[in-house]
Amino acid sequence: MSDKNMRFLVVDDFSTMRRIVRNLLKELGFSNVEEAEDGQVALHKLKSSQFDFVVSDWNMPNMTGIELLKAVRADPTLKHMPFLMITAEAKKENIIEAATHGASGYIVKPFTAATLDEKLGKIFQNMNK
Amino acid sequence: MSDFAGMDDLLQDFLTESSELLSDVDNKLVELEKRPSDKHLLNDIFRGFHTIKGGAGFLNVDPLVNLCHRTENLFDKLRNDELTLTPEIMDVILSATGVVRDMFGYLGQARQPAPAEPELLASLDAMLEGKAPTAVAHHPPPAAPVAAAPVAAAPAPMPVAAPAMPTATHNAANEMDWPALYQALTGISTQSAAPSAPQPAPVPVAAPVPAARPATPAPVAIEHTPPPAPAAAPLPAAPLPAAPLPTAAPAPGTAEPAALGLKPAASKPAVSSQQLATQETTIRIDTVRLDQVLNLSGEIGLTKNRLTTLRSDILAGKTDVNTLKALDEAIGQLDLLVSDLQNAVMKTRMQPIGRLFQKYPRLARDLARQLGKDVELVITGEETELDKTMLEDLNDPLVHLVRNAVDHGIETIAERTAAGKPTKSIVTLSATQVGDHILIEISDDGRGMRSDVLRRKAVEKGLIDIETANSLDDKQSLQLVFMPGFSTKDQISSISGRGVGMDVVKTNIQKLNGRIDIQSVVGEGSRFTISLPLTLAILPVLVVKVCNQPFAVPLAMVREIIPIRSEQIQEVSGRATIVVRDEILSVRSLAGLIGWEETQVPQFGVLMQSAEHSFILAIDTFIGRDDVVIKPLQNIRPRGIAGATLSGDGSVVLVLDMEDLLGSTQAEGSAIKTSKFLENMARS
Repeated sequence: MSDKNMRFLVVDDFSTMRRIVRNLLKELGFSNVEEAEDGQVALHKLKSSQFDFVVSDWNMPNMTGIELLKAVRADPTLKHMPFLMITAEAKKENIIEAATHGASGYIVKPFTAATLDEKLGKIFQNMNK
Repeated sequence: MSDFAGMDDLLQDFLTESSELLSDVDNKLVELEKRPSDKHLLNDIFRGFHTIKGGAGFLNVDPLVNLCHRTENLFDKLRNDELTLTPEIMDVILSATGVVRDMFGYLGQARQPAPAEPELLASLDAMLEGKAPTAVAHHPPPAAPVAAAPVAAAPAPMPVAAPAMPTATHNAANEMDWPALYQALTGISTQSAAPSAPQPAPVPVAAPVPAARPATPAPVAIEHTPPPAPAAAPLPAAPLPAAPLPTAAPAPGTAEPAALGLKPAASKPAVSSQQLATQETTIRIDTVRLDQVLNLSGEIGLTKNRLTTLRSDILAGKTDVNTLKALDEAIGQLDLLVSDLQNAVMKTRMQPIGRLFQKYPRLARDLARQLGKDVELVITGEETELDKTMLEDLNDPLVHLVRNAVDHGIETIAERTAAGKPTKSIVTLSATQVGDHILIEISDDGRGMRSDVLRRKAVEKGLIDIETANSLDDKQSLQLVFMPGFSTKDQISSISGRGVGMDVVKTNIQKLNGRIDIQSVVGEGSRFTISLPLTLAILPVLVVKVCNQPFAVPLAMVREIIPIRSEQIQEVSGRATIVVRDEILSVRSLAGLIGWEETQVPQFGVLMQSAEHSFILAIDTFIGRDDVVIKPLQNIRPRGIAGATLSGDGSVVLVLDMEDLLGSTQAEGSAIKTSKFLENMARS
């Protein structure tokens, strides 16, 4: 089970995409969602307020999803933050790169609410083990 | 019938945002031709296609996904130096961009676009595989490790070599056993990945997360972080007094989809269907500007309170000097605040004209290439702001003018060389704010317009007779291009020259209360100047009086006010006229135009410059200029009346629509409207 009040941070430079993710999360019952338009903004938000989950795009200007992931994992206060990486590529190399840098999960665009739910479920499961 | 039922709202958002992206990509492509190896440009363009692809995927627009995917891959190779940009590749990319735009057009009508031409996809594929004759000689190994790092800027070397990973080979990303993969990669069991720093409080979120990487050397990674927020300086890996958030505690247990109260996957997203909104009415506003509006309305509230207090004082009989002075001050302040508020509200509608301009470099480039010319479109003043509605209405006229400049204005390279000009020609598009007007100029360094040729063409096309043609001076001859049916091209080309353009350009500009002028020097080039009011919401007017009734006339049309003396009036072919500085202007009485009986001899004439001609509007007297907000009349539409407004003393003033007023009288026959007074004056 997961807490529906969990605070999500959705990171994507494309506002339509943020809205899609937000809608999908809402469909899953998570309505406590904040947005950030790139890694830099996201990191700032993560450091200045409390979040429970990061859903981030990979390819963004200023600071990419991977860079954000690295920064999050390097930050003592944030390093245990669940981090779901979204990307358009299902390439092996990308998945490995995300995994090596400590992504909690990886989801390929486009995805449905069901897929997202499955990914989240796995992450929650591992969190509670 | 919409192919995107239930997603209209999302679709509109996607289109708005993607169209901006695509315009940006277009401009970057034009830039790229100048600097073909600029990594930043290549990266930005790559990301543009990538982002559009991502959004299109969610909307299930497969044709768009397919096309963008290929284009994106092409740019991936280009930015990784696996391919070199050639004019041929550029052409394919540009046509792909065009097709993407066409697809947006379909999507705009909520229709699923047709797949891109197989030839286009095939040539993209060919270039991707380096098969195109233009591809570089060296073929890098396919799917090189570079592809794993979409942004080449990642400075830290990857700790794990990708090929050493056996688990990753067998599965697609979706079915990947993530914890197992993680474990295989890092050697750390997810179960044992306990946090290295002791956690004092049970913060459930921070409990063993598979991704927690205790081994990550913090100082290294922190180099990539942006300047941290002052409040959030990175702490050393010391015990953290993490405040346990009650809301953040996930209940223990498994996350079964059913337990989450999920809808089945097939059900449509219910959210978006509830959010249907009319899209044309939305606007993006800088929050700073909205805050300003809020502040001002707050201050107006305060001033209102002050006035209320003063009113009570005055009603109570307190009318000493200090009270009156305070009243004066409060009203003065209110005056200032209201005009500030008006400005601030107006500002929320203002958009930078660059949003419009950015489409044109590509347009000019494509056209020039098609015509075998070398043209650069130089844009200045893109930060100049203009009312949003005007911006939209300006697009067509500007597209036409830019095309005209490239097609008609600029000579062929051979002609330019013969004339001793540089082969590369410059078309300048600029915007500046001058007072309460915006000036937009489109100038070229081409051949210029010859007034004798214009006159000959106009006569040939039967637009004017020879007599009229001979009476036109050079400046007036230039105006001939605005006549309906005028076109100097003998053959109709696919680009321009159908003769349906310039008159429409002029009409459109006039609809915006604007003016367009031409200057041209033979052999040196032409310049079109468009002058527009900043906004349509507030109209500066001249308030005039006829039969003791005030009327407002748009100030943009007013050139000057002259007194009318009977000895000045001459009758020319049955009409009253006055000669002003050698210009013969007909005199139209306002009372006559609106069909009233005149009660006195007109005292003043307002020299009006309307679209087609100049004339003198005879009035009884005038009150002065004013800035008014026009309220449209509901249910009734009297001839020649644009709307009504309130004057300072609270009376209703009708705002005249001169075009309508003149147009309707001309339809009725031009001779009848000369007033009896003017006729008498003319005869005497």
